Amino acid sequence: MTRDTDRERRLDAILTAAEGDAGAVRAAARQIQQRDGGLAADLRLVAQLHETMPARAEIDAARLRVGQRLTRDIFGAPPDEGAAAYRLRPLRRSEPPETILARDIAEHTRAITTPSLAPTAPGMPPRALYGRRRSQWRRALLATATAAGLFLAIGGGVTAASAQSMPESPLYSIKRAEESILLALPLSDDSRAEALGMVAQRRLGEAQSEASEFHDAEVSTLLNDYSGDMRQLIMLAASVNERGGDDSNIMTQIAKVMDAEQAIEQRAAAQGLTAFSQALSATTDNIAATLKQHHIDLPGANGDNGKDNGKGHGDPPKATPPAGNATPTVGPTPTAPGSGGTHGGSGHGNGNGRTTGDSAG
Amino acid sequence: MIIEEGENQLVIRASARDQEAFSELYTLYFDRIYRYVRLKTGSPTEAEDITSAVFFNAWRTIDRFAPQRESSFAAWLFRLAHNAVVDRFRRARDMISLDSTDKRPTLHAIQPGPEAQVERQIDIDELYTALQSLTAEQREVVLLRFVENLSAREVGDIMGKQEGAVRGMQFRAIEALRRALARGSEAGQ
Repeated sequence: MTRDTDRERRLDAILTAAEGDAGAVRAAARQIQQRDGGLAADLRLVAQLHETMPARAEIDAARLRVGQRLTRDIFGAPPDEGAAAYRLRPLRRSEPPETILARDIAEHTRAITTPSLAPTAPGMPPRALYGRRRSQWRRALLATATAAGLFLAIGGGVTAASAQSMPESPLYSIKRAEESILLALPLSDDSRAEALGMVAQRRLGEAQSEASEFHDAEVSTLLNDYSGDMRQLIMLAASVNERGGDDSNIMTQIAKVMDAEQAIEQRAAAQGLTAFSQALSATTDNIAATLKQHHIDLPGANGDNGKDNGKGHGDPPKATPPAGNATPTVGPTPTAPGSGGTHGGSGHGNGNGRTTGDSAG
Repeated sequence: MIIEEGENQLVIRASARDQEAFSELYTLYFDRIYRYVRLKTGSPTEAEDITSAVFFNAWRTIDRFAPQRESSFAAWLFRLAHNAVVDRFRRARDMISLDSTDKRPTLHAIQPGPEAQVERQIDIDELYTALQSLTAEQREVVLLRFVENLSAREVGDIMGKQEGAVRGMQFRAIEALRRALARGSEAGQ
């Protein structure tokens, strides 16, 4: 009994000192393994419990949906608007272009709402079948709400407060959750490219904003995320290419994002943000290497992505990033064939996903 | 905790009906409350509903939160979550109440000792299943003390127990959980 009480005290003291850090608990377990194997085993179990979580996607989706519900219930946003995002600030209107992504999400929403889950099995009472499938209905309805919300937030032209948020904002996790859900939807290749391009440009805009405040750690994380998004975009292009599909829209997305990156890099250099400019340059090199690895030539590219000669990617055959709009904006931009792909006329994002449109060319 | 000072400010602002402060508290605590409820109910849908009710109640009653009486804002929020789960299961009479202490699912008998259990990542569903074989108090202690890392005092506040009693319970609870996980692991093989 005394031994148990002593062990209780030691267990409690170690847990209190570890402050929920599973690594610290494991380290303590290793230290006392020789003296008290039983306590060490308990500690290892506690460390495992700290690490046991529902899947990240489940938590993110739940946070978003509960946030939407609370926004409506607590802050009184009308239910139809509440679906767009967990937002606490007035909405801002942005450009309302019709995009492939918006259309695809709208179609996806219609597909979900089509009552394909209606009871059809022969010999089974409809009511019993309904009961069995109620959770499927519920999931479908939640997915519909999410898709509709994303349609409103991204495709429909309404830019929610969360979409403008920066990493230090409480709404930022909502923004990232929205993106995860968007990318988890079964989109067409073109829509997925558009979504990935939008997400990549958001990361760039955020990195630019963080760099201007000298938040080096955040910049590094955001550029890593950006590289990951671009890698996915390139892999998508490679996959479509391999299937013999039309990858022109995907290539346009890649070119558009890289143009935005170059514009930001040049601006950073001009502003004396040397470290950020160099980090962007290194990121561009990595992306160029990935492109090369997958044998992808950007339309009109000269092999070095135009880094050294000040030129852009040249002219994609079907579409070129518009000269005055190659910026990290949330909404898609119209294309301007044959605009040359240089960056002299690039507008510059303000880091909030909005375009200032300060055309210099 | 490093965030405690900032957290106190957030609580004060939220008590004064500052929506942004409340949204920050929501962001800070959502994952923990959701995980706690998820492990008590075993269902993502139920967990969402209950977590939503918890934060709704928190917003309604946050001006009643008294730091001098509570060990922490976390403990207060977890008590709301605990009460919300209990209420939900009381209302749903056709469901098995997690707080009926004698519900023991039929798990296979132990063959190897707990020490024989190989360390591995515990799955959330596996943990939920193992928790069902514990008493309600042991389950609560495991969730609050070991999963959510509240202090013994905070757990005592939530459960209405003395700190010393929580320490005693936590020791027995972890042993019981280890045995339950070992049984579950055996059953799964």
